[in-house]
Amino acid sequence: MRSMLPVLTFCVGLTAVNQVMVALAPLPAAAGLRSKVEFALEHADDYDVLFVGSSATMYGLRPEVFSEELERLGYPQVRAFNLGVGGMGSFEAAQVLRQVLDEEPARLAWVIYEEPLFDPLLWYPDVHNPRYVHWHDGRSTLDAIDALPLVGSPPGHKQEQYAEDWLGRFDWRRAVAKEHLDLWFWRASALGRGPEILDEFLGRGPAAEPSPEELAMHDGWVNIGLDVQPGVRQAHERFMERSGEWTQRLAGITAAEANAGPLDGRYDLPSLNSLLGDIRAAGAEPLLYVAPRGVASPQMASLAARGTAGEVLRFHLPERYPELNPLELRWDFSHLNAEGADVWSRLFAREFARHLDATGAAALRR
Amino acid sequence: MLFVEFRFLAFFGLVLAACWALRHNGARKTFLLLASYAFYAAWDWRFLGLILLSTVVDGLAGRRIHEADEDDTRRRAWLGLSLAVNLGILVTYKYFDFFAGSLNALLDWLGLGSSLPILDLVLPVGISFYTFQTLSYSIDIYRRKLTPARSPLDLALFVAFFPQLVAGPIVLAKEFLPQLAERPRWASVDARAAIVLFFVGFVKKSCFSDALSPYVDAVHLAPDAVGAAGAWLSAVAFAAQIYCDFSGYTDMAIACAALLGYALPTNFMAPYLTRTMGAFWTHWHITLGRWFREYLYFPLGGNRRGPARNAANLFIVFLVSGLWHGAAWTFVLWGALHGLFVAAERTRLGAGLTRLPLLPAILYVNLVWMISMVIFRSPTLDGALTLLGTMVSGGSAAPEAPPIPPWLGPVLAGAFALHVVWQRVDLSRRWASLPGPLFGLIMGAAVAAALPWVTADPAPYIYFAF
Repeated sequence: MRSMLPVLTFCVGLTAVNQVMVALAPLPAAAGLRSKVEFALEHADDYDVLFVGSSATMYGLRPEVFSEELERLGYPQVRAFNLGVGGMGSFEAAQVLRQVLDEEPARLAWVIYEEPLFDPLLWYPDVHNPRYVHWHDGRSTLDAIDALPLVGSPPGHKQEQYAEDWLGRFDWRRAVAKEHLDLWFWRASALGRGPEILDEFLGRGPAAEPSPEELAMHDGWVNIGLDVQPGVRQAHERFMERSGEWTQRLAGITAAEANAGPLDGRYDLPSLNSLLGDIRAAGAEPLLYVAPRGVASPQMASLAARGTAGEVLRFHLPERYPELNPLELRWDFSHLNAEGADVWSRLFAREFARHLDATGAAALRR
Repeated sequence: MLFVEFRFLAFFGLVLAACWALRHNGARKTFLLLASYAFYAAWDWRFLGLILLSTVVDGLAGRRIHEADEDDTRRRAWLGLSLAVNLGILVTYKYFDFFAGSLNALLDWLGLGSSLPILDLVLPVGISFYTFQTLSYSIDIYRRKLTPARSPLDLALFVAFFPQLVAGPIVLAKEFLPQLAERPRWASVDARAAIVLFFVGFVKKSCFSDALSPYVDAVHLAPDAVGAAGAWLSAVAFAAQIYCDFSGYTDMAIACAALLGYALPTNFMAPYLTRTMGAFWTHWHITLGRWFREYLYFPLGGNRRGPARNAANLFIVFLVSGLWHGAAWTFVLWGALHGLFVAAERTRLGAGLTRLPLLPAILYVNLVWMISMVIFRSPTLDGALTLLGTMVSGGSAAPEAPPIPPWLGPVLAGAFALHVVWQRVDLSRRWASLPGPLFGLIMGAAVAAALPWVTADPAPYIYFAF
């Protein structure tokens, strides 16, 4: 037993300092994730409703307009925060949301969550990008690995890479699982985060973008027309050049949704149930929606039909929400412009009020 | 497979466990040999043949030299075979293209026209290191300082022992082969000291050397754009980088060998705190200096044939040492520069350099080293001269000059602290002798504190290229 004592103290020293290092490692700044999450954590008690989703949510939902419309419909003083972040998939969003829920937000009554597809594939060629690393806490990593058997094929551009991996030779999913475990290790050990920790310590870290003032002013909504990222501008120009394709896209959505069958075994229900459970455990109610991103979502159609997750608001359906589809409301194929955001936010408020009326659920927790 | 890669840690963990589980010395050595070959094959299995060829030739030559006893002709013939094969391999793979290219350029310049073929061969990793080791075996038998290895297995393990196979320390047969006679005992292994040494080596390479390398690389990619401050900073950074890189590797090699029960010689002793260039070379890459002293400098006559011959001998040794590092004129010039300084320190005129007060003396050594390392690091002579010109003339940086990373200062300070404090205060020994639980606690904390500074994509060791 005495010979094990140094091993034991080694583990204690390792764990203690590691926890400090992980806590000191700043959140990834990319796409405004850091400033949004930090703001949400700091103001967790200020909001009744939390929108969680991708850039379609970030640019498309204006909490102030949403609240204003709700008030008009008889639900006054509902404060909402837009926690949408560009490129945020379901596992990342769930991990970010859990961080906020861990703060036990006092007022939070509703978590409105965008299209939980739970795709466990790592699409970016640079797997060790800070955002992938960040969402790989132990639980999310295991959830993603558990979901791998549900995936039919790997991303085309990574097939060769997985085939060359000695694990991937047996089954490409093992190579993906290895990537997930690798990312977990990076996160758990704060591997390579030293320069960022030092910069943070010396107050030389990157400026928060969007700033807390901007986030407070619009409750997390970002005006896409004022976003200076080159990709945003390029997407707009591409859309303007090929705007004729928009109508075809809408027709494609209708066709794809019409063919949606029952929810097949490929959907990650355990991750969804776990997410919904966490939201309810925090005293809030979940509501799922599909953003008007110009793409079909047959899995959400099947999920809605199954009814497991309650109502799914499917704003991408052109025939159900034609007011969201005029060209002048769009910035690009995936995003609404500021005017479109106004329209969608009001529409969302109306659907939300209807949902509240229909379910008899309390709008607020006061 | 770099020592700082996690797959090496896994590999070494398995080898360590298996080695100590094997009770029979022969089985242990066989396993270690196979592990060493596997380690080398992870780089490039094709060059295993060269190691085997060296082993077979030296095994045969060593035995024949020993058996020839009084027959000097036969002894010389077998030694000649060993030298021809080992140096032949080295020259073919490392120097042929350099000499052929230089000769082609010279003949073209003379208008004679020439087209010696360029072989474009891949340089087998570690070839300069294991070739020198195998040469020491046959030369020492020839000099009657060593008897042949008891078994081909011992010789093969001496040549291929994986901790030091690819970048030293350059072990002499006479110091390693006796260690193979009996199975090492775990009780005689100072495991804590070895763990500390391994950790320090890991930190030197992964946290310091790899952090400094991108800036140094960027400067040498665009020497024209760099200003004086950047050029000086990159010279300081490279001095720190190469120390952390090479001594870090050596620390880990010595530590791995120690954990397996074998002792490897020291290779570094705070070289940047020495006061003369002559002393520097007894503190930097000590085993290479020792090899050259024993197998080149002494045979040339050393210092026994008068000051002029001594200076010439020193110059020759450093010129060859420059070439040992790499097949390029930059290395030749680098070696010549060191030869000049070391030789000059032994003349009446240069003796003043050896009597400088402590700080100016250290400054002198570091200045010579840093400036010479600009030549060493530069891919071309032109690039080296450009950087040295900027350092002297104080030119300003162009807009495209690589930016100086903000964390360069802390990293250099950390490297300096490791170099000075660690070796001068002997923290390694003090740490290792702490009570077990405290030792474990500090080691755990140190590992966790180091991990955020580990570079996930480690660069190959600089000396692997030699």
